[in-house]
Amino acid sequence: MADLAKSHDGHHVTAILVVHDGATWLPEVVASLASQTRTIDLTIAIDTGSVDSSVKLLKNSRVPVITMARDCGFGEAIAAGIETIPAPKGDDEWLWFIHDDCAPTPDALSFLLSAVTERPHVAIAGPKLRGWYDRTHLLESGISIASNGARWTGLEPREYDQGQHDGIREVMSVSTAGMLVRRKIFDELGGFDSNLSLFRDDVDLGWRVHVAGHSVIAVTDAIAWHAEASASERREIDVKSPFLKHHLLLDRRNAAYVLLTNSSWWVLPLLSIQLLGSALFRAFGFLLAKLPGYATDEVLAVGALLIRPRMIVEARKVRRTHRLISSRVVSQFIPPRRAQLRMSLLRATQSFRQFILPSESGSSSVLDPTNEDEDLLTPAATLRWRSIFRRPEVSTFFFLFILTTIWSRNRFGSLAGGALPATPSGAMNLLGSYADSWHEVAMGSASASPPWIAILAIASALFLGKANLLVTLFFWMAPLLIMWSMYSILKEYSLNSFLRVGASLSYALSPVALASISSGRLGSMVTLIIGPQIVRYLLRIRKVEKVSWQFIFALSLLIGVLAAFSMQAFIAVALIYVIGGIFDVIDNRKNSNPRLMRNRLTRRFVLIATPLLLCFPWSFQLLSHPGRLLLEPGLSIAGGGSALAWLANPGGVGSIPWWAMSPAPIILLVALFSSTRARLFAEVGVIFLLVASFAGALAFPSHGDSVGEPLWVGSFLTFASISAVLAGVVILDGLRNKLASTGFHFRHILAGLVVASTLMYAGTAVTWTLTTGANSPVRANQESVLPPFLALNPGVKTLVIRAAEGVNSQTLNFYISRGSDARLGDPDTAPTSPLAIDLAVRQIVDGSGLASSKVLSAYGIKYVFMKNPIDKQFVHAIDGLGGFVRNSATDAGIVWRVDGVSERLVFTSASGKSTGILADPKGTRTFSPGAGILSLAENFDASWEIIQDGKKLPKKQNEYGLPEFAVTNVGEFSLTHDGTARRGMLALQSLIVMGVVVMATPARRRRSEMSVEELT
Amino acid sequence: MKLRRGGFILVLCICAILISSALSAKVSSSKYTENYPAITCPPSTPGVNGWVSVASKKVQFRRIASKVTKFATAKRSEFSIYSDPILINGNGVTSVVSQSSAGLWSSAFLCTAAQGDQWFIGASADVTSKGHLILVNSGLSEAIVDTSVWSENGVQAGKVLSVRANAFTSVRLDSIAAGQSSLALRVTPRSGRVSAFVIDERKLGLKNLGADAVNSTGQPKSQIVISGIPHHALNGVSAPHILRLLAPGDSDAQIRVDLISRDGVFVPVGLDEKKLIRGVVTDFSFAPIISSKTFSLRIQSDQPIQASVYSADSVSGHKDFVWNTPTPPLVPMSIAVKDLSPVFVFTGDVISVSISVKLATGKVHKVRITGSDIRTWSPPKASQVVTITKTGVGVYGSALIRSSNGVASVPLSAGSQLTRASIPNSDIAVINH
Repeated sequence: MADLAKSHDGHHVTAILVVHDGATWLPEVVASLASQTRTIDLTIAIDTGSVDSSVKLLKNSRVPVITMARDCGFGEAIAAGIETIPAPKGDDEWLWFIHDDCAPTPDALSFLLSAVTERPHVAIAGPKLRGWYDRTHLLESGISIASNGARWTGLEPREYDQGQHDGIREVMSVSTAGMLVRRKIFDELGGFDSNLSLFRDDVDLGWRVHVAGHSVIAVTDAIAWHAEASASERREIDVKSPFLKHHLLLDRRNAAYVLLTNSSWWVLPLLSIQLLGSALFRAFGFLLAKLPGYATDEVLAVGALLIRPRMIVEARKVRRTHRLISSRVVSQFIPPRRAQLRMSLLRATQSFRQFILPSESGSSSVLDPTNEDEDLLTPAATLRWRSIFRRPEVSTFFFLFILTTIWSRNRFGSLAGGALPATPSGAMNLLGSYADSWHEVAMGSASASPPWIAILAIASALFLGKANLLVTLFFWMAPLLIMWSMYSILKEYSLNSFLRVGASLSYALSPVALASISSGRLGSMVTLIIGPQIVRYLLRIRKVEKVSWQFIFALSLLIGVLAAFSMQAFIAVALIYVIGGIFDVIDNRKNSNPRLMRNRLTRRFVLIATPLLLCFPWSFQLLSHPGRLLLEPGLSIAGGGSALAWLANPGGVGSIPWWAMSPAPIILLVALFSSTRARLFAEVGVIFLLVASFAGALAFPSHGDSVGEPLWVGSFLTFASISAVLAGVVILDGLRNKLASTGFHFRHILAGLVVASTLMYAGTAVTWTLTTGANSPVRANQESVLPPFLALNPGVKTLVIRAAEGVNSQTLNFYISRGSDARLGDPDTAPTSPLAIDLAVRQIVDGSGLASSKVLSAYGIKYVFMKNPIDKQFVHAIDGLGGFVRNSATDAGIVWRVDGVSERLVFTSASGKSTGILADPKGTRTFSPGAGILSLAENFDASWEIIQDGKKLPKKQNEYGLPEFAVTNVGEFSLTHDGTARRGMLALQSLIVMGVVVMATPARRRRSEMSVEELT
Repeated sequence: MKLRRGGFILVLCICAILISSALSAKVSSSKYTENYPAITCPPSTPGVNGWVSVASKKVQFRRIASKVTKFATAKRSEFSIYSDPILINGNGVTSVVSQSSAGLWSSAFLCTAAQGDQWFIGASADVTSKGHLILVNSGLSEAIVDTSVWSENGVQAGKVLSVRANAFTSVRLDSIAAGQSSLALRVTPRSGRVSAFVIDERKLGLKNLGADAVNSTGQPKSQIVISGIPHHALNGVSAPHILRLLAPGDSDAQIRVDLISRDGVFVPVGLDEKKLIRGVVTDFSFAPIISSKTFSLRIQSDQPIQASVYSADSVSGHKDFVWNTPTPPLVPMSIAVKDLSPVFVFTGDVISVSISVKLATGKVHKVRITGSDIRTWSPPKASQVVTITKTGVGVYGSALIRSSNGVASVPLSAGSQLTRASIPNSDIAVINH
């Protein structure tokens, strides 16, 4: 046996080295122990069944080795080692635990002992741990445990050691790698908990030491290099229980065990819930990261512990025997929640940054050639902020910012006008309208809402739920976003920053961009922003079979967002895929590789089908009205027709005049004859011009309209404009040198034509935006169409009639309002006007409608409002018809009240007397005065139900096509619109979206897949 | 190669332009609905026989002020009107109501659609007056009507009258402008579907002086033509006529009157360059010495004016009178003339009128009237509907109806105009800015 005589400093130190397949690090570890400046009094090694050359290395080093079973835990190994050394005789006998992958510096023990000499109350001291491979960054300097079980070091990820944490300080615990513990106290406390075979035994010991009235310190002058082989999954977990042979599972399980056995009893319920909740949350995150194994480990770790409370109870009994003070003595070391949150955000930000901007996992090394003197002598370069504006992209963005701010001077506020209806104030209103099974627009509609409403609602969360603020900012910043999107892809085509910014600026000021913003075309605006990114990725997947499925789904997700806003844009993209598919088939005929063809076609099919599935059920509903596939969100406002489309100008209200000729057609025409890849872009661009021209000649009635308007072709022209910009950049890139080196040629003329047309258009567009362009149809804070008193009772129907300019003469248009102007989403779900109402209004106009008031009141229309400018013939006709009592005549217009019972819910008794029943828009519970008929002034839908005495009343359509129910008893009844089907579809859509998101997100790596250099 | 490619692209673009132009949907939201509004015929006052000539037996009508609001088929092309006015469904043929008090007088009304403004230049509210203003509300809500009155003493206090839904009211003229001899009325509905009729009945004690309908005219104009004024001479002495004029505007008016007859066009004595004081109803008496039995007057003024002619007549030994009111320029129209035997009088510089007559037998008889200044024409017997199919510019017409009870005159103007209105379209943009 070793002589336990104390050394000259009065301490006796026994180093216990636990080895488990540590041959990689053992040579250095053993050498470090041997080279300690303060000689170790006794060194023993415990080998737990190593299968490598660890034992041989130890024997060669003449270190006594005790062999244990392979599934022996760390604590058990330590206990076995302690049994071989004589019992302690004083307080100054120390045990120094060393891992087989932990090499202390030569003076580590010396510093540790000098620290504990001055502090007799200290039971444990530990060194500062740095990475084994990157020895400049900190791993640990004392440890703790967070309330959710996470191992808490208080350090930032890969924190560089600059001495910022130096000093001797009290900590909750230190790692067992390099832990110096007073043997007497270690024995008193019973050593490591045998239930903690590996991981978190250090935290548990430190907690127990504190509760027993002792202290733990971290001595940062003592340094050890630690490879964290077990934690980084470099070696297998060999523990007795096969269930616990997963790193993460064992770590989480032990963390939960430490918290549950050491915390005060009265926090245990909350702690259990917190542990379970954290586990579920982390499991969900791991599922998203495509690490189902880790997800399972998280849940099993806590679950397996909680279903065995006896073990916790027994452990707590043992601890009670050694407890002198409350468990809360360690609360000073438990990190506050905000610190945990800050650290989580920091980690998430760094992960995201690494994902977006991957950098080489470099680490500085002491071998890096640096001249420290040079650092001192060289003055630090100060950046003059004015020089930033010399960069063309900065100055151009700034110029565009000023321009768009001046252009938007009438658009600061709640926007409406053109194709854009008023935005509800809150995101919840938008979400509600998306999820509703019944839309209160006109006579009501059960149409599926388009998904862009939900996207807007979710995006509003960034603005504290203020949807109208989001819309206002979006319209203001749209040109900048459009320019940035194009600029980001042009880097691949030209290194000339002036050319890039010029091209992206011309894209942001293109006719389609200006017209879209002026006239409130949300779909086209989103297409303008997302379009360049999609084109970039489409060009990358020309060899679609070489692209990963994760990329395919990510691109599908992006296209799905685009399709939600503009099916027209989706058709444009799908067209490209279909053409690609045709080329695949042709290629297969040439090269006969059916497997390759199937692979390609499958991927292209997924790219087309996935966005449609993401927009389910709205996308499927569109298939029953194919014309609506070409319509954009919001009101259907006429486009400029096919002729203007050839000029790449969508036309319509708010668009730049046709004579401000866009250079896009000229560029496309010139590029068609190019011998570079500009020709490919030109061919695509011309195809989209053709498609836009055809589509611009068509007219489809939208929701709620009886007459179609010439189609707005903004999305098609967006892709044409993108093609023109790309073609132009390719042509002009390096052209100056080419032209300078050749004689005067037609190329000089064409280049001049392109540049001149671009500059002329730019000047015109800038002038237009600063002057006429500001008076756009979309404006802020416009007056409501309805007079205020008609909006007092929401849900009350008013037939609004307005004069409009027809093709040859003035005409009258009408629609039913429910107490407010059209709101975002209403035009996309509005029902067609019933034929009876169309006829009633026509008869009012031609003066023959003696029964028109009866029809209108049957449909629940309480008021008729003719907005100024009034049509005198109509006013005279309605005044003369009877059944309409003039209510008011103001600057806003004339209002008539419709005679008769015009409530939404009308009860007609057996004697024929009708009375109105007040009913809430979203279902009601009220009273029926007797047997009779209940008529509901909403479009007939199978989901309308009236339930009385637990039974559904029979339902049928009345003469006006409205639902009516036969009531047989007096008593209460409930009127509802059964939204089960809608909720089911939303649930299915949510599952589809989640599935695609999971497929699209990049998978995280297991720790075993990361390089050791990354980890340590 | 490049040229071939260029040519292909050029051809493709031209084809695309042509096809897209052909596809270009001329989206016209301006579809029209055409309809004749329903027309109202006045009731018969107590002791008066009234009947209405309609286009055919299939005409739909209903009685106003009746609880029954459904239309019934006439089953006859001429039927009696009693104490309730009737509403005839619009069919494009102007119906005529003929009223008479046996042996005393006869009058004729055009049944008209509800109008905004109606002017009545005629009638009296003096001691001999038994005249009425009849307001018929054919609509389903209460009507409010403003009446403005002018007389020889200038503007009189008007009245605001209300008429219940689907009802009529008869107001004595002497309660509107008591004691005034020369009346001009303007009836303006504020709301409601109102047709107004004025009957001017005169009695001096127990002596009947005759009666006639004062048909309504349109807005004041600077040139007025009163066509088909009946004229007779008694014992070689031309019967006197009274030209009633009103300049309702803010300025006095200078007028010039031309008398148009078969004897030529001339200014009647005493009617050259007359001055009208604004707001004062002025009567000018004249007795033209002409041989023809009808003449017309053309009145030109430097200000918009209203006019009518009172013509006394003697029929079967009793006195009667007729109010001849201005006629608008003749336009294609149809008028029901069953059992009326009217004499159509056309006035104009160049008269060219094509007429189609539908007889009771169903046959159609066509005729073309040409000439200058003034022409008369009587439809064949058993005529049911006279349709003016084509007319020249500047031609005016009226119809004189003579019976054993008296003489009446109706202007040839459509009782209801074809209303052509754009069919309104459902468009949710209505409730957006």
